[in-house]
Amino acid sequence: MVRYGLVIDLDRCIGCQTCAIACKLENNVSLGNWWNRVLTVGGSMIDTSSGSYPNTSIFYLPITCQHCDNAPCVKACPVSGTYRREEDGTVQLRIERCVGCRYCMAACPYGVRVFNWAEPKHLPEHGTGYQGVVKDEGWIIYSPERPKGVVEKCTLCIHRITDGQEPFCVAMCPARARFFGDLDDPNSKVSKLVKERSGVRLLEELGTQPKTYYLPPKRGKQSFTNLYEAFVKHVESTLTSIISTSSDISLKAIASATLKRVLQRG
Amino acid sequence: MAKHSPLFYGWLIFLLLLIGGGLGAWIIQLQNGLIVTGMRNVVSWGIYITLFAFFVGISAGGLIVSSSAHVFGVEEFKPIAKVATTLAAACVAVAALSIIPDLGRPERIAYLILYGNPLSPLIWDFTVIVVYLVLCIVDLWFMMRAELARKGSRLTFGFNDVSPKAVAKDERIVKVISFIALPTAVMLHTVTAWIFGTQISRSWWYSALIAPIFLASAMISGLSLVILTVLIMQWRSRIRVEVKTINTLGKLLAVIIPIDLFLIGNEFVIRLWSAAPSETLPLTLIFTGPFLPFFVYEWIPGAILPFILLLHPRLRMNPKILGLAALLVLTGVLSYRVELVVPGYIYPPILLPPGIAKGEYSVGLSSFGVYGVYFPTWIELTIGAALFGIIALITTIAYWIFPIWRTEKNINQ
Repeated sequence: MVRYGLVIDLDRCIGCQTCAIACKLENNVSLGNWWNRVLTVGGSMIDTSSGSYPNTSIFYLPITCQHCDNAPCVKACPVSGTYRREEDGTVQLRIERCVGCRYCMAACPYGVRVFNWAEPKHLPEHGTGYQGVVKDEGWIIYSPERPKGVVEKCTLCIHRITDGQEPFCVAMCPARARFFGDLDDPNSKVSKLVKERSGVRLLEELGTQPKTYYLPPKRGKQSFTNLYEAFVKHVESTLTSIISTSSDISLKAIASATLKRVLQRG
Repeated sequence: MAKHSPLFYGWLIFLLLLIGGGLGAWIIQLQNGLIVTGMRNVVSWGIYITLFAFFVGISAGGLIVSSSAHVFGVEEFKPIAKVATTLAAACVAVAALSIIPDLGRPERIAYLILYGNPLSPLIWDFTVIVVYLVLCIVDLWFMMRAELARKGSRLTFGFNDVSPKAVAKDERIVKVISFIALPTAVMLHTVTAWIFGTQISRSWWYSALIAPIFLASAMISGLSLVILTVLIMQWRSRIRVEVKTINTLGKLLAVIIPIDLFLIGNEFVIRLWSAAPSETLPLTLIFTGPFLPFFVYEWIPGAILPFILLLHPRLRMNPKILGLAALLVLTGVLSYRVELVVPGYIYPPILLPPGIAKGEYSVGLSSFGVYGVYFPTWIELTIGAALFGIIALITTIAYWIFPIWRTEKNINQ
């Protein structure tokens, strides 16, 4: 069996939000809703670190539908509108069947399901991304036009993966932090990464068996201190070379004063 | 049909205005979408589901009273069985109705039957609600058939036999229905609790105690509604209910209040001891946060005070004090429902910035929220009030046209 999943290398993720924007564009996600988000693991605000200088820590956690094998949303949906596709293991949603009760949103622990509270608006107005419609057994599971009153979520770019392409967030990631593949194939890149780097899943204790694996970040406080030291060494050598080689007396004075300050702080 | 006072007609007009207002608000909501409510992606259920749980709860009284009368032989409940069952039918019907404004696509409601997912607690609840409603209506029909026949009503559907044999047969059927209705009533509250209790991602709901709490709170709120209705009907007509009946109702209410508090208190102890943030964060909302007034109301005026009032027989049999106690318990249970639904959403399992996309866009404001915020809009409040109005209207009309009240047994005058 094919079980498509995502692997996200948290050491490579730079929190640039490209995957979030790429997803929004490709899937014509309306204003105010996001299928794919990048969370900050650090301070209380986006892009802030925890701790105080120099003992700080920050990394990013991109989050979208985890395509759980034991998905609470699938069990909760009263009309089987959301279901797990047997052929690829993805969790899909029949747009035209959704009654809009939002029980799936109560059931999902990852907060990745969004509701069209009003008639969706787009920027630009005519919308963006893939314009086709994807059907599964007669029911629309992807359409760029999703009306008010229905829930929607990441389809793992069903229109792309059924066409042999990677999901758009994976293709667009500039840091190459995202990987897509078959988790049931032991030789796939994703399976190997999960095995080699001890991939973990979000809220694994809830037993939802998500198919999104995260490769834990190795860098953090310690590597940041190293980075700082490397930076100070670089500044130190540059300033030293200015002091010893420059003929400009005022520049020399500034450089030695700066060097003194840098060394004091270091 | 007896002549009624201007107050009665004024009451009917008031209810119709209330319901009309709700209908108007619902039309606005249908046109604009649920954006007109206070709900967003983080807190995605609000007052409609809170009221749904409340209405299911207050429907308990009817079948408890009529089943007690027939299953446990509590004779003094027999005269009020019809009133109680009418209330049960009205409340459970309105509970089902209160789901409709919560739906984003109400026109697809038939999909619940066409594509029902056997794993969804919502479908289990839908099924048990329908069964309960049908049982209430059938029960009521058999209790009223003979009287309807005597009055020559068409609602007997041709079964006009009023011989003692036929009446005795009706009573036997009512008894059989009571035996089926009692476990159905228990399941109704249990399954409604399971809608919340099964949700592993909402630690505030994820508890096996939710079903027993729902049963206890349903019983106290259901009994309170029966007490209030009986007292109002007694006040507005010359008919008197036996003191014994009122006394037993009050006593039963007094017994179940501490059970309800015991169960809810249990939850607090277990959660507090764990000191895990997922368990204690919702509690901070209730002990120190915006839900503190509801918590205080639920426990003190909503439970402890009425319990004390009901302890002494002399106080208990005073209609004013009994009515006050019933009203306090009813609003106390409503407070409990408020504390149950929305706080489950405020802190999602993953509390990382920038949070969840709220589903609303306005220039200059963040579309994200780490925590949920919910305050009902006037649309939701108007629709909520209309739902209360429908229950009152059904009961009033039933009182008006059906012999739910007038039986030989309870007319002492």
